Amino acid sequence: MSAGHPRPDPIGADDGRFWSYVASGELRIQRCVDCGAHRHPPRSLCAACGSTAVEWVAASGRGEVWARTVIHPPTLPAFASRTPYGAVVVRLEEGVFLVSNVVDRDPDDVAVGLPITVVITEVEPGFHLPLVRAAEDG
Amino acid sequence: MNGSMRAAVVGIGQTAYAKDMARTELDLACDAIRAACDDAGLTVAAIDGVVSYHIEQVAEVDLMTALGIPELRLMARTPSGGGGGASILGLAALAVDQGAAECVVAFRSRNRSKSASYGSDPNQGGRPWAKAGDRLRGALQWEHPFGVASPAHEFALIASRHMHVYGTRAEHFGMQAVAQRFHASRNPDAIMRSPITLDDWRASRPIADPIRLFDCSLENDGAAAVIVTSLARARDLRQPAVPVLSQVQYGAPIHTQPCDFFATTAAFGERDGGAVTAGRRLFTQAGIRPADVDVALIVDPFTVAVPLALEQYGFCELGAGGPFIESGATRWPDGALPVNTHGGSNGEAFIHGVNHLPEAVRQLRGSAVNQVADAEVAFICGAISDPSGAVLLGVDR
Repeated sequence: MSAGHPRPDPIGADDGRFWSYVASGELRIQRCVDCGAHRHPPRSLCAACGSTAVEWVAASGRGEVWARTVIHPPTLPAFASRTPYGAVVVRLEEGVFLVSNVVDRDPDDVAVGLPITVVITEVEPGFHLPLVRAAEDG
Repeated sequence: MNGSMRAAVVGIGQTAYAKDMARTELDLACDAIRAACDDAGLTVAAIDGVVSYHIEQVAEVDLMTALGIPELRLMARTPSGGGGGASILGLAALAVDQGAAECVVAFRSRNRSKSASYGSDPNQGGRPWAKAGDRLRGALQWEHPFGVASPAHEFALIASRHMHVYGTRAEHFGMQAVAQRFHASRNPDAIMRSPITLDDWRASRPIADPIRLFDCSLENDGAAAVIVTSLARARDLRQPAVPVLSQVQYGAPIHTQPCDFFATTAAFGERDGGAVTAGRRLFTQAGIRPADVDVALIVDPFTVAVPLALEQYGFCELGAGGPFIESGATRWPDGALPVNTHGGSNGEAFIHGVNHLPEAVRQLRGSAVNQVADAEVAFICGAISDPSGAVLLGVDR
């Protein structure tokens, strides 16, 4: 099956902004102007202090694999031809979490705790995702 | 030992559980509710309250029309699917305890097989990826682009973290799968009647590492219902009253939102909330301890849910759920705390955990197939990965 890669089609302006930054090669996340707390996925107010004053800051891109799996059939049509494939949850230095894929490791070799770096990757022409690679691989 | 609530379960009912039953959710719900009424010795006209899941397909008013219920004084739904497995009973008991209604039915009905389930219906069965389409909004946009799209994928991620933090092994989940399939093998109502060995579990195909096929809940149709009324009225009815000792709910991010789940869960000992604090309230309100529980019904979309629930509700230390299972504690008849004695969601059936409610009642009536000797306290909790809750049931002494 040659289904296209599932693409975000966000309704909210904040979600759209996140993906716009990704499309331009940047990983930016929300930070509360008043208390400095980072948050992701995007939201209109800070859960720590209630402030709606927000800025979009460049994330360090550094973090670690927090959880991992290797996915077998059945799965999304766009991923069916890749099985088995790896998926991870990573925790960034800023304390927020992303679901992602490790691009440079056999999925069986991805362990929880692996240091990672986010790499904005063009997975289809014109479509980018924040994927990750093992940090020690430079 | 009647706890703090003036409510009791007086009737239980369920349909057959099978694939492709070719019956509507409404038909199945009516059968289960009528069976629960018959069990209690009540007419359906006595029902004045209905509690279900927010994803339930059967509307309250359709039950009124189909069953001939003259008046409903209370209608309520719990958040989430399997997370509400205990809470629909808890809400029913709360309503009776507070006088909002006198006779409340809690139910769940599923037609996993209907063609609509694989198409446009976002709330009822079917493959997640068959329903998402190309419009990835809300939580889906943070998962599907990376190939994470089903509860199995999400529970696998949760399991991997537990294994990392505590040294839990995939075989621990397999041991629970084996125990539940043994329970199911003795249960004539179960879909899976053949027991399995740990080698069978190892040979079952991988779904999402560490989850294997035999860890997964079944895909089937069916319905289950329980009826709650006041403890005083319960004593005049057909069956021995099964008092609701206490009930709790807690809010927590659901597994379908992994970024939020991992930021806030109490599963890995970094925080103190969710089921951990709810469990303390549950037992304090009932005036008992986890060690007083004789049988546990744990909603188990995947077997990894069992050790996580055992830990967070205080049946063992955080992280000790795997060894607890390995010790045989969860296996009937010799375990200290038999879990899912009807066979659970991988053995009896998957009714989003609501088939666990009748089993808890049977255990306290002394009528279970895999009867725990002298069972006096049953614990029921919803799926540990959701906004959820728990209930303690007792015997009327």
